[in-house]
Amino acid sequence: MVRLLIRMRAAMAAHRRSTRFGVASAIVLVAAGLLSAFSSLLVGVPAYPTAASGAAVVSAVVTVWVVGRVAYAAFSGGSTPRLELFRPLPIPRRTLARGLLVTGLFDPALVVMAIAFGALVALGAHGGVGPALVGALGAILTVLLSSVLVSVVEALMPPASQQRRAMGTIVVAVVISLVAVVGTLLPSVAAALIAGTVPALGLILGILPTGWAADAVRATTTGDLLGAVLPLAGSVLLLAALTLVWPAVLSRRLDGDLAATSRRRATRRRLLPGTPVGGVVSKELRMWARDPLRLTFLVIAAIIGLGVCIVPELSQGTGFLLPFAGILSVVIAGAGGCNLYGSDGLALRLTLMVPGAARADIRGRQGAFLLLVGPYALIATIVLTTLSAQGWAWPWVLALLPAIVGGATGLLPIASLVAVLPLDANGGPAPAWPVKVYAAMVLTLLTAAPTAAVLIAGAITGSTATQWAAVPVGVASGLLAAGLLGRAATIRLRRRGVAIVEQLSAA
Amino acid sequence: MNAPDAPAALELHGLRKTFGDKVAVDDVDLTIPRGSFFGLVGPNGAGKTTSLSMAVGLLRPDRGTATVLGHDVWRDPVAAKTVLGVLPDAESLPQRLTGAELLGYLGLLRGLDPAVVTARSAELLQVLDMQDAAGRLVADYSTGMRKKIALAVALLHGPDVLVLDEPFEAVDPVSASTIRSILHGFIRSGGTIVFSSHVMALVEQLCDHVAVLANGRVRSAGSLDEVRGGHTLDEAFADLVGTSVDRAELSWFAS
Repeated sequence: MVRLLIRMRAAMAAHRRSTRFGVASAIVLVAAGLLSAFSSLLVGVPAYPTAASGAAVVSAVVTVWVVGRVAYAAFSGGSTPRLELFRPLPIPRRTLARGLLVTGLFDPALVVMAIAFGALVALGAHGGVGPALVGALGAILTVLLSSVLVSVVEALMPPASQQRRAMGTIVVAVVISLVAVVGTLLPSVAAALIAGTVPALGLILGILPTGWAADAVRATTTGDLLGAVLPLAGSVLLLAALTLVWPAVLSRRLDGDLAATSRRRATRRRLLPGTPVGGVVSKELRMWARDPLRLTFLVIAAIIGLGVCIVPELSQGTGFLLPFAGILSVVIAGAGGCNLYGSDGLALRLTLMVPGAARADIRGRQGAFLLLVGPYALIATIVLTTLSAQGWAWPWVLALLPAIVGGATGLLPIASLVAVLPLDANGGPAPAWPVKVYAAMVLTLLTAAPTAAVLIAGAITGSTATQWAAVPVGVASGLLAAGLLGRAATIRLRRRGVAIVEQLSAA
Repeated sequence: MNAPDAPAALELHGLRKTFGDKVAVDDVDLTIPRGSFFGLVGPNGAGKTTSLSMAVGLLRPDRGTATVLGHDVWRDPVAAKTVLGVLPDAESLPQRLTGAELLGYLGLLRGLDPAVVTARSAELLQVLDMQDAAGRLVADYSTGMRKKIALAVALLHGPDVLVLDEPFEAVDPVSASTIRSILHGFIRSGGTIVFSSHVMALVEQLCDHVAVLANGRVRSAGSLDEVRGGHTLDEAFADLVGTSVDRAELSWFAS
């Protein structure tokens, strides 16, 4: 049965990646995973001032990997194949439980994690063969623990609702963008652990089971035999306990005690006007919050926008970019909304069946975007410019912000109606989607060109008055872009709506 | 019942649509009288959905015209769509709105008064026995529930002509009987219904007019009795479409 389960799992994974975009993203994912794994391994290589500090740094790395894998299991919508598939089959539960546990070991993520946990062996190697062997044993135990924990967590989570599957996508996106931003901060965290300036962090890492292997390596290096055996024995016990609990968890899940839950959404009091445009705005606000693709982009926009500007301040003490964080977030968020009609799919039919709805649909989409990013960008800009204490930046941000917000609000619907890209068969973005996103970013920046020209002219001539004159230019250009491009989009939706539906239904 | 020169509820003239080499709909002419309960039947791939999509302005025909109560769906779409109620298919429903939100949003988009939208949505959800599902995402609905919420979408604005593609598919018997009584009430109030189905018994039970479509052409159209010609609709259909009713058997069940 185990072999059959593994073959099933492999076949499902193969089909998932059968689109070109799927293959490309799988390659990128594997490359990124391997790269991160080897960099994690290297964490164990350098000589640390004390055995304890080395163990703390390595256990931090191990913890991040295990928590990441388990969090993905919790939010990704469960195992492959779905456990419900086994419900009607006449297989004894214990046999099934054993089979699934073994199948769980054939998880590509575990290979990557095993490479990363090589840091434990590298760390031990400083103290000789003994500690290195303890490190290897600890690494194997931690991999096994992770695998069983993933199975248990997947079975404990209620069967996947649409929303939970969406959460998985968002968790991955958030983790990747956080890693990209925080990666630059890691040296400071490691430095803190080595210097022991944050004792609480070291203590927590030591208490968590993910830190036990590193602790055993530390103890072996210092010749503390009991200290080496205890954490390893603890890991074995925990593994045994999880393995014993597993059949019961699986049975509860398969016998339906853990029913599918889908959150009931309370009807909220209407805050927006009860007009066609108001209706579209409130629908769009909900779509931005519930469509994983859109929400992911908003979250990435906030993290990258802020991160790119804040990290240089934290690591280098350069506050030069701080005032522009809000503006950068708007550019990224706007580009994320460059294919709304493509990702909403055939729901466009509903809009087309409503006479005269084109204008309300466009203006409503613009209004929702403005409500989502406008206040955020304004507050971020004011707070961060004040914090940066760079007086010269005020006319720049106050002129560029309205120009960019207006430009993005104008481009959003028209870009969504040009070169509409339907989602692929798996509901993911089409292969050409990143190209469209980058093009939209460039176009959004271009909408601020007149304002930027005035600002640069002011900077060259050294005229503060000219620089401040860019503010009304920015406001006017923003209003014009939002208004005119929105009108163009309305006309296009009226003329081409049916053709777009045809294209979407052919996809 | 109708004024002698009043326009038909739905009138299709020479509608044609090709997809690549395949002719999906081949010069379809149909007149659907006002106040009729009109059934459109045909085998899979006969062109029912394509014809109905063109009739309501969701698919542009290669040639031909479609008018709703005298309004051309392509030249005067606003007037045509104001009087039309169309059952959206499941994939047209936004997956990430709740049933109640979907109705609220579409009602407002149609320019209905917010109070009217709230009252009608509540009544529709209650009549369709969906109060408990009102706060759940459409994505988490069963196929039958999606059909019901789609019907609510079609009825919300009080249309004169309802176009329903397979409205009873995957709907449980209790809900089906609720839907039947809603539709009968709609006809009694002077409305017209056009619906497509594979289920002959249902068409025979509900409809007073029928058209049989096969290979993109109208094989027969008229009142139910005219089309049946003294047989059951099933027999008439098999005769018109030319299907073989030989019993199919599976080799491993043969004795």
